[in-house]
Formats: sequence, structure tokens, C-alpha cells
Amino acid sequence: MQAYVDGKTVAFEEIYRRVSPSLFAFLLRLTRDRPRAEDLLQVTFVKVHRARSSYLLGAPLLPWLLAIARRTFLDERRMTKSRYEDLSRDGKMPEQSEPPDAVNDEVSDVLARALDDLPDNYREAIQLTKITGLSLSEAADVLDTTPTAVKLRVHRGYNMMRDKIEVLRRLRT
Amino acid sequence: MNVKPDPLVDLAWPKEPGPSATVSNAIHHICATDLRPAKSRNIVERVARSIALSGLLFAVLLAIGWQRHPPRHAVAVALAGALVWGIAQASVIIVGLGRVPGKRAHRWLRWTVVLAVPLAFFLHLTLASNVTLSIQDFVTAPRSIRHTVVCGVHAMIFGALSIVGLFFVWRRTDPFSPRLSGAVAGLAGGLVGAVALDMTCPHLEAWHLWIGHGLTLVALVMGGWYAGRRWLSP
Repeated sequence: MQAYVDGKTVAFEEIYRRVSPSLFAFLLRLTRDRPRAEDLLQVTFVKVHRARSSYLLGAPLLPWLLAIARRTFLDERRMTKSRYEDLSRDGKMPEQSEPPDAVNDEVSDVLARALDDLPDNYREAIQLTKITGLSLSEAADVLDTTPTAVKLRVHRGYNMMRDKIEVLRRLRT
Repeated sequence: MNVKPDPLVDLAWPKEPGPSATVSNAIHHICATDLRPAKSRNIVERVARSIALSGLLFAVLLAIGWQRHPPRHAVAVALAGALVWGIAQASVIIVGLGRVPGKRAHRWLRWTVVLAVPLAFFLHLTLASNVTLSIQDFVTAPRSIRHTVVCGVHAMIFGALSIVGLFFVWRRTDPFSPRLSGAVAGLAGGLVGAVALDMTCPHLEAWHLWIGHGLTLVALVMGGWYAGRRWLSP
């Protein structure tokens, strides 16, 4: 990150290569909408670019970026909620976005669907700890809560997923 | 015993999908084209600047106050008060902001600082007061409201100046808990105005101290809490 602050393009490319999949997956899991997640990813990187001189050396980079991404998502959601209309340019209602299952063909349908059905706070806790691979304290920093709360959310989300997966499996067999 | 098999065991967690090439190119275009070095300051520099800025404003306010109302105690006692303030101020800044975001002191410790320091200040004001009027007498006493408003406005102005400076030093540094960091900056800034005024104001009536000196500190902490989200988050 210091090299990026010093103006080295290669450093930015390396950071992008390493963190963009995690950031994008996190945003996709939050939004469940690929175009929206891509927009938010761009906004996140613009914010990171603007704030690169404010990055304090030694701060954990991926949690720092994930926290910015999460706040970007929350800001965008707040703005969307306060809008009166959400129509396309021709004045019609926008078409339904792709369901997340179709977004990524490789993921296990069952697990992805169970994860997407979880409430927001459980979903983002599981995404950060189980998929992105953050520690409980790092995830707690990103979610602006305590490690105990994250542990609880993961545990409850995990139980809910387990029940859903059993139902889905039974339906399939 | 019938052990329920865990249905998640044999399932792989979803792989992380990447953004499309178009989006990646757009991001590279914004962030990596004509990239220039940015001036950054480390944590020690920022802490030092925060303490220096607070100290400077505190000294200015103290000088103005003592010019109008010479110290009510001996100079040595006043200087001891300034030293105590300095230690409290530096502690608030170091505990609340003195480590990189993500590795800062535990949330409960920072909350304790934000809540306990104003409470301690109120306790100090209560002990420092030499008379407590009934609220009706306080309202009707000649010029008591005016003095309280003047004190409150002075504490607010200098506290706000200090907060603006602290927010400038720490701007965009904390995406994790910007509100809490804002409250810490509000407390540090508020202490400048409130303590300097406390050392120079000749009025020692309890309501005057609680409202004119103490409430401004609380208001500035709350102001820092609200503004932190906007200014301290990237």
C-alpha cells in the first residue's frame, strides 16, 4: 500500500489483483445484483484512491478496504431508499436483476441459495469469516461491532443455513 | 445416541467471483492512470499534531481569559491545572486515536473514555462550585443567563475550532468506527474550550458551570459523533 501511496502503478495493480475478488464477492453478496455490485466496486476504489494518503501504515489492508466497501453499500442503499422513483429512462419499471445463482455458475447452488436467504447481518458475517477468511476481530472491525457479536451472528446464520440446506436437499432427492 | 450429520461438511463454500474486465479496466483507468505520489503522514505525526494544535488553542484561550480575568488562584495552582488538563488531553488522544484503525484500543475502552471523561468533568465542576442556586433563582438572578451564554459560546467556538483542526488531521483515516473516533475528537476538542474556560471564568455558581461549561463539552462530543461519519470515513 505504501508503494501505491508513493505513486507506483504496479503496486495498485497488485493490490487490485489480490483484493478485488474478495471485495466484489462481498458486495455481490450484499446487493445480490451483479451490475450494482460492479458499480459499488468502482465507487469503492475511487474512494480508496482519494483516501490513499490517509491510509495509516500498519492498518490491516483487506479489512480497511472491506469496511470502505460496506459503508459505500450502506450509503447507496440509504440514497436509494430516499428516492421517489426507480424507473428506467423510458419510464418503465426496471427489469428484475439476475438472481445470484445465475451470476456464478460454479458455486454450489444449495449453499449459495441458503446463504442468500439469510438476513443481511448473518449473511455478511458468514461471508467475511467463512468465505473471505477474515478473523473474528477483523470482521468485527469491518462490521463496526464486537467479535462476540460476529461469532453469534455466524453461529445463528450457520444454524439457519443448516436447516435450509436440509430442506433443499430433501426437495432435490 | 443419534448424532445429526452436519450437511455443510461436504459442501464447498462458494468461490469468489471476480468483476468483469470492463469494470476492472474502468477502475484501472481511474486509479492507475497518471498516478502521482500522495503525501501521507504516519500515526505518530498525526498524534503529535493533534496534541500541539490542542495545546496551542488552549494557550490562546487561557491567555485571552487571564487578560480579562486574572487567575483566581495562585499562578502555580493554575499551572498545575493546565498540567492536569494536558495529561487528560494527551490521554484522550492517545487512547482514542493513537493507534492505526483496526488495531486501536478495544471498543469498550474508547467508549469508556468518551463517557467517563465528561462525567469526571461534571464531577469536577460540581466540586468546584461554591454555591448552588435553585433553578428559579438562577434564571432570575441578574445577568446570570447572559454570563452562562457568553461562557457557552466561548467554549463552543474554541472547542469547535479545535475539533475542526483535529478532523483535518484525522480526515478519511477511519472506515471502521468513524463515529466513535469523531466522538473522541469531539471530546478532545471540547476539553480545550471547556477546561480553559473553567480556569479563567470567575463565576462559580453550580448551574452556570454545569450549563455554560459542562453542557458545551457534551454537545461537542455529540457533534463529533455525528460529523465523524462524514469526515473521518474515507
